[in-house]
Amino acid sequence: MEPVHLKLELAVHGARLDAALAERIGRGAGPSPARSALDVVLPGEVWVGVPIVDTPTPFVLAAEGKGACLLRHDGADQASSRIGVRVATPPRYYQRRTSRGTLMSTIATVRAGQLVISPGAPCGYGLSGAPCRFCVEGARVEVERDEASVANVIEVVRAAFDEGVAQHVYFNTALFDPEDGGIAFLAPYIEGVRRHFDTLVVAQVHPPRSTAWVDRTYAMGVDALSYNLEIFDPVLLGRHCVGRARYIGRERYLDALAHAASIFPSGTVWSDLVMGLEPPESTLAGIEALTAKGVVPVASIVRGETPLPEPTAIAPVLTELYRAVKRRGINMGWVRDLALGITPLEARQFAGDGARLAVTLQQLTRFRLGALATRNLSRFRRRLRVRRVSESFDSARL
Amino acid sequence: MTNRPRGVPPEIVIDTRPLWRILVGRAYRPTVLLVGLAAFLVIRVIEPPAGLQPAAQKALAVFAICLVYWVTNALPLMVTSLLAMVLLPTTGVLSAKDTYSLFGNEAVFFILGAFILAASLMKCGLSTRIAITILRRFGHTPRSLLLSFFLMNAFMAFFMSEHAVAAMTFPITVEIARVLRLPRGQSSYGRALFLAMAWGTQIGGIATLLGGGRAPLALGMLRESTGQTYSFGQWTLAAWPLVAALLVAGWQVIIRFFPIDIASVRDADHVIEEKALRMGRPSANERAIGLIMLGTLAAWIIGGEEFGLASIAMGAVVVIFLFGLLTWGGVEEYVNWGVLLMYGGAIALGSALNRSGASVWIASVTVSRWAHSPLAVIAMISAFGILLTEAMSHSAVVALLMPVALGIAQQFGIDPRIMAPVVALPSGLAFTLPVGTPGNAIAYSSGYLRLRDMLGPGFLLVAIAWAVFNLVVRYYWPLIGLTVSISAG
Repeated sequence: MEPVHLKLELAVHGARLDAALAERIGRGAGPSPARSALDVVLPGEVWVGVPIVDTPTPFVLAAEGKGACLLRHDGADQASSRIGVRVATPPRYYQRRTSRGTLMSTIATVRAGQLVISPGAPCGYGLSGAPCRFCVEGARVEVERDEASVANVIEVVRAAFDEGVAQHVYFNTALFDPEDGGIAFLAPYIEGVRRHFDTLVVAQVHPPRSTAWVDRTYAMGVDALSYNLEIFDPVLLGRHCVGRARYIGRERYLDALAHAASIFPSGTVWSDLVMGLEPPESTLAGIEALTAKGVVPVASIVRGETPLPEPTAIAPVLTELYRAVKRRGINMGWVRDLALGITPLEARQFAGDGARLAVTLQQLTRFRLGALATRNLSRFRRRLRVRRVSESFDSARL
Repeated sequence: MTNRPRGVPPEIVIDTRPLWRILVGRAYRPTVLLVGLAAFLVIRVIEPPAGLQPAAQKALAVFAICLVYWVTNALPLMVTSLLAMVLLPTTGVLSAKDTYSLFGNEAVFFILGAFILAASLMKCGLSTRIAITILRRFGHTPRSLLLSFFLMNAFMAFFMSEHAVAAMTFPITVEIARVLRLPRGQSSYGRALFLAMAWGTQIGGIATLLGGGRAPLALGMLRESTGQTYSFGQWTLAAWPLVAALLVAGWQVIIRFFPIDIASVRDADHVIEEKALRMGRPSANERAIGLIMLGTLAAWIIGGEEFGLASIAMGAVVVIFLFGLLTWGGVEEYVNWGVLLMYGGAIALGSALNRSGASVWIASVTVSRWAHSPLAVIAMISAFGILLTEAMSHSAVVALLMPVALGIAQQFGIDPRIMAPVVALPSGLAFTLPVGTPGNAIAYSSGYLRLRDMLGPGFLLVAIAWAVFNLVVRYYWPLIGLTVSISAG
C-alpha cells in the first residue's frame, strides 16, 4: 500500500498503542501536549498524526526492538502486514521550564519536525465563542492565557534546536485583528527568531484587511504563509466555521491568498480545505479557485469528533489536488511534512504519477546542504524583492 | 488595534518584477563601480598618448574614476570627492600636504558661512516671514498670486540656497493648493504653482553667490588654478541679465502651458492671512538677524575683494553667535556637511588636473576638435553644462567641467576668468527632469506634476536659457569687462 493511502487509512481509523511502545514514549504517564494524536513517520517521509483510540481499528502501533512498527489486522488475529515506522517521541524540553518558570511545552510544541509556537492563546475564535465546529483546539479554549515574552520564545526555540527535534519555526496566533490579521502581534516574535536563528519561518494567521500587511508579512521574514479558509462553500463555511465567516468572510481569504501568492515564492502560500465537510464538488471547486490564484491547497484531515469519509470517497479529490497544482506549475516541494493534511505532492500517489523531479528536489532540501541552500535562497529573494519607500526617495535624490 | 508592527518598517513595497530583471537592476551599481575602477587602472597602465605627461596621466586616471562615480551617483558625491582626496596623494599626483591644504580653500568656508547664515534665517523664522509678506502684499488674484509666488521663490534664492528655499516654500505651496481644492494631476493652476516654485528657486539661485554651491565651487577652482576670482557684486552683475530674461521667459512658459483655471484665490488669502497673524510682530531675533544679513550683503559688495567673501561670511557667523541668536545645534540641523566635503575634494582634483596639465590635454582631445572659435567653445561648454545638469547634481557638473574648461581656455587663448560663470551659470538650470535638482524633485513629489508637464515646457525653457546665455556672453559681458579673448600678446 502506498504510504499516502496508509496515511489516510490511519487518519480515518486511528490506531491502538501497544503497552511497550506506550511506556517507551511516555504516553499515559502524565499530561502530554499532544495526547490525542501521535506523530508517526511512514516510509517515504510521510508524516501522519495518528489518532490513538481504544475502539476497534485495524491498526496497532507496536514497539519493535529500539524502533516501532505498524501492524495491520484484517479481521483475523494474525497481523496481515507489518510496516516499519518512526514514532515521534516527546522532546525532552517539554519537561523544562524557561528562566521565568514557564513550562516550555506551553509555548511551543513539535509537530512533524516543525516547532509550532503560539505566543498567545491558540484560537481567537474559540475565545470569542465562535470556534470552528470540527476543531478540537478551538473548542477547548476557554480562557485567554498570558502572552509568552519574546525572550521566552527564543529560549524555547533554542532548547528545541539544541535537541535537534525541529528544523523550522511555525507561528500561529489567536488574534484575528480586522486590520492586520494578527501578524502585527507576531512581528516581534518573528523578528526575534530571525535575529537569533538561521531557520525558515512559517506563519499561519488570518487575512488582513489591507494587502499592505501581506507585503509586511513577507518583508518581516516570513518564508511561508497560510490563511486557512478550511471550507470553500460559503454557506457551509458559515455553518462550520462561524468565526471565519463572521469576522473575516470568504472573499477576504481569497483576496489575501491571491495577493500573498503574488508576493511569496511559488508554492509557499497555502490554505487548508477540510475533507468531507462539504461535498466533493465544492472541495474540487475550492482546489480550482485556489490553484488559479497560485495558492497551494492542502487536503486537511483534521476532523475532531467527525469521522472522515472512507478513503475511496475522497480519492478523486486528492487526485485532482495533485493534478491541479501540477497543471498550474506551482512549486509542490515547499509544503511538506504535514501530520494532519495531505499535500499535493503526497497526493501524486492517488494520481498514479511518480513526480520524480519534484520528489527528488524535496528530498534534497531535507539534507543539511539542501536546507542551507533553501534558507539562503529565501533570504536572497527577500533582499531583492523588498524595497522600502524611503529607498525610492533616496533614488530620486530627494 | 495596532497599525504598525513593532520592528517592521512602516512602508514596504514588494518588487514583483521577474527576479532576473531585479538582478539586472541591482547589478547596475557594482557594474558602475567596477567600470570606474577599470577606467582608473587602464589609464594608469597604458602607454601615455603624445602630449600627456606621466603626472597628468595619473591625474587623468583619478579624474576618470571620479567622473564615472559622479555622473552615475554610484557613490554619494561627497564620498567620491573623498576618494579623489585619497587617490591624489597615493598616486603621487599631489603631495598629501598640498591635497589637504586645498580642502581649506576659501570657497569651502564661504559656502559654510552661507549655509550658517541661511540656517539663522530659517531658524528664526525670518525667511518664512519674508515669503508670507510678499504673498500677502501681492497675491490677491490667481494671476498675481502665481506671479508673486514665482518671483518670491526667485528672490529668496538670491540670499539662500535654492534647495533650502524650495524646502521652505513647499509646505506653503501644498497648503495653498489644498485650500484652493486644486485636484492633483488635473489642476492646471496646481501645476503652475509647483512649477513656479521649482523654476523660481533655480532661476533665482544663479543670481548671486548665495543661491547654491556651484558658483563658489567654480570660483574656488578658478582661484586655485589662476589666482583670479570675482567679487560678490561682479558675479551678480554678470548673472543678472540671464536671471531677468529667464524670469520673463519662465513666467511666459508657465502661463502659456498651464492656463489659469480658477477664478478666485480668496481661500488662499485666508491661509496667508492666518499665517501672518500667527507670526505676529517680528521678534528681536528676526530683526537682529535681518540687520546682520543686510550688513553682510553690504560688506560682500563693498569689501568682498579686500577682505575675501569667506572672511566676511565667517565674521557674520561669529557676530550671530556673539549675540546668541543661534545655537550650534541649530546650525547642525541645517548645514549639509557632506556638500562641504564634496567641494573640498572637487577643488583638489580640479587643481591637480590643471597643475599636471591633464586639463589642457583633455581639452585638446575633446572640445578643441569640434570648436574653432572661442564663442563656439563657450556655446559647447554651456550646452554640455545645461544638458548634464538635467541628470546630475549641479555641483558635480561644475566639478567635472571646470577643470576641462580651464584647459580649453588655455588652448584657445580665452580669459580663464570667464570660464567660472560659463560653467557655473548653465549648470544651475535644470528645468526638465525631477532628478535634475532637489527643487524639481520636491515639486514633482507633490503629485500635481506629471513628467510630461515638466518635459515639454522645461525643454523649451532650457533652450531659451542656453540661447540667452550665449547672447549675454556675446553682447553684454564685454560691456562689464568680461571679454572672451585675452588681449593679444
